[in-house]
Amino acid sequence: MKPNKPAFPGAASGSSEVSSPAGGRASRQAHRALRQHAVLFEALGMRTTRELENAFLLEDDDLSFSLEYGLRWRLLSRIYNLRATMEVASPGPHAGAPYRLTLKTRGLVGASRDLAAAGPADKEGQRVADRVTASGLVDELAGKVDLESLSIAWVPESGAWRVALEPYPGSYIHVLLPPIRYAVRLKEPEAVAVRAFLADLSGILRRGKS
Amino acid sequence: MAGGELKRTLGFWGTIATGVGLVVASSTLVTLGNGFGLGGPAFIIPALAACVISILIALSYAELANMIPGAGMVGDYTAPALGRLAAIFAVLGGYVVLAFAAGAAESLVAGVSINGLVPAAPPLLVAGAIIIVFFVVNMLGVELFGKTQVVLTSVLMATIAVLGVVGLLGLGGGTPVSGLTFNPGGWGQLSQLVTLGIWLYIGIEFVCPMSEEIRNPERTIARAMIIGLVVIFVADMLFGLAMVRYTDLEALATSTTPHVVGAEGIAGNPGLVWVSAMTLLAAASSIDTLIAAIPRMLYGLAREGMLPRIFAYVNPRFRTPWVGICAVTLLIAAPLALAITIDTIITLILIAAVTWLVSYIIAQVDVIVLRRKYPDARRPFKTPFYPVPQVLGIAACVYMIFSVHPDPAMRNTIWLFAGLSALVILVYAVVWLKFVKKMTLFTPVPLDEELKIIREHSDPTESGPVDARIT
Repeated sequence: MKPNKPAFPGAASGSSEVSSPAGGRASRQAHRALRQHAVLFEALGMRTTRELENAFLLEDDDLSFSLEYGLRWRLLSRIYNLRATMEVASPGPHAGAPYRLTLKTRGLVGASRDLAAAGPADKEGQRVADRVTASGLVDELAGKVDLESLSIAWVPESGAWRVALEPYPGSYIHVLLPPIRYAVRLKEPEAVAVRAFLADLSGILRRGKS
Repeated sequence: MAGGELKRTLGFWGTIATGVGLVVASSTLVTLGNGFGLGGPAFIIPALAACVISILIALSYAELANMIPGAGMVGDYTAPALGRLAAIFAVLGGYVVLAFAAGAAESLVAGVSINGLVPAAPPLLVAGAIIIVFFVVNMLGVELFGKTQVVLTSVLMATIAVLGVVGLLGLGGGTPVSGLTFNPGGWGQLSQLVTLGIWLYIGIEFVCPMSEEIRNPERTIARAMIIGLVVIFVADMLFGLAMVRYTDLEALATSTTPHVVGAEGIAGNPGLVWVSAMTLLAAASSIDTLIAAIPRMLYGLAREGMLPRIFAYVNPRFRTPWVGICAVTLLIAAPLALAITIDTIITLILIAAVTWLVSYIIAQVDVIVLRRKYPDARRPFKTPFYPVPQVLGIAACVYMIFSVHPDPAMRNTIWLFAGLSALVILVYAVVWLKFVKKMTLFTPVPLDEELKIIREHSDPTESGPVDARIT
């Protein structure tokens, strides 16, 4: 049984042409850069089950997530941030109101990290945040991969958490003036760390209140 | 894997819009105003000459872009023609100097524009404030502007042509100046304004790296670049001719923001405010682009061992590459130590133009060399009347480098700093290739190997994971 699924809105089905998801169109060059990262995860034993214009859906027996680019617009550039997203279904009774956990770092040199909850059900969210923080997963990941952002959003309508992890490496830059196209390569140990984090995180979230 | 083909999404009009959008910048408007101030209405002639030369250059780029699709920049065309040293020089000489000089010029122009609106705000302070704001914003990892920036700035810049029409039709309320002659500076001076004119069009070839997005690229790229150049020429000339109708030429020639002075002459205070706002927004967009994007590239290069490791430092609290951001900001801010005059700004722009023209020469030489070395290579688009466009284009670029400005003192300064920049880049390229990478300097990369490198970089399923690199 696959306990989680890629959090990917608007995926088309049944088409042999690569379709554009709700997140927006990536250039072909950016898409190829994204494919490089998907190949990296395939080398770790994952399979690409679907290729969309701005995302690759990756799965193995324990985990499935989507690898996509979030686009930051500038007048003369596009910055594509690598993002791994997944949904983790809640195993039991859950909060009826949403909350969001985001990574906070304290101290100028980044001495400590934790997750902070915000939203209507922030008390419930903070309990979940404390459980994830106490597991040491976030610190372990941050020690191996430069992180840009991490958020875990509770979506009551779906009865699931939506996880979005943005590592700093893996981004693609397209500058018009001066003309630069550059892909910041995600390294294999970093891909291993990301995969392990997502797998372990989904386990912790699924364990619910126990 | 359920794979598929990405659609080519850019049609003819989209390609034109991309090309035109890329070349409109505050520094372009400064050269436009300064050119008309020096040459009077007759500046339309060197501007037209520069447009024709740009078309010749565009034809070469169209042939290269279709012959080597997927290539990112001029270095990809140069490596198989002239070797790696020329390739690095073509890229860095054009792009790095441009980023440094144009970035500084943009902030200085914005500073003076705002000073015109708010005399209590010193230009250096405004220029410095713009740089500091985006320095801080990017250090903290805050998203500012975003897509709004694109829409707002594009809309504002589109008004340049509208202002021109308003002025020529006498609808702006401005008072025409008297005693305007067609060619006040004489033909000798006019002939030396072509390099100033070329700045109006530099960047149109940026369409080429997008060749794989473009539908029917063998037809679209060349046509879109040519029509784009004509559109820029018409829009700029409408505005320029309107400016000289309502503004004293001396004011245009000596003002640090001639386009703002000209807009005020055309449409009074509304014109002044509108174009000042546009200038500020355009400068902010340029600075933000450089500070947001380039440190990320420096981060990647450091991870690959091409730069000192310090550039790979990401501040763990704000999660941004502080060292890279500081380095880029310092580069952009350094020229603020200079006294801001129109000469400073034009000097910066023309230094970038000279090194860019060398890059253009290299691209046109690439066409000739590749035609001789690979006469049977696939060329979906071939330059008509080859090698006439290339020979004329090269000769024109050489002429423009040597006649870069009518003032001998300024000309010597531009040559000096452009030459120094070129020397620094050459030394870096030699050291990097010969001693660090242990590669040959002048041996061309075989074309099929270059195509393979570009394909491997683009599609790792052909040969496994590939190192990222600057494309």
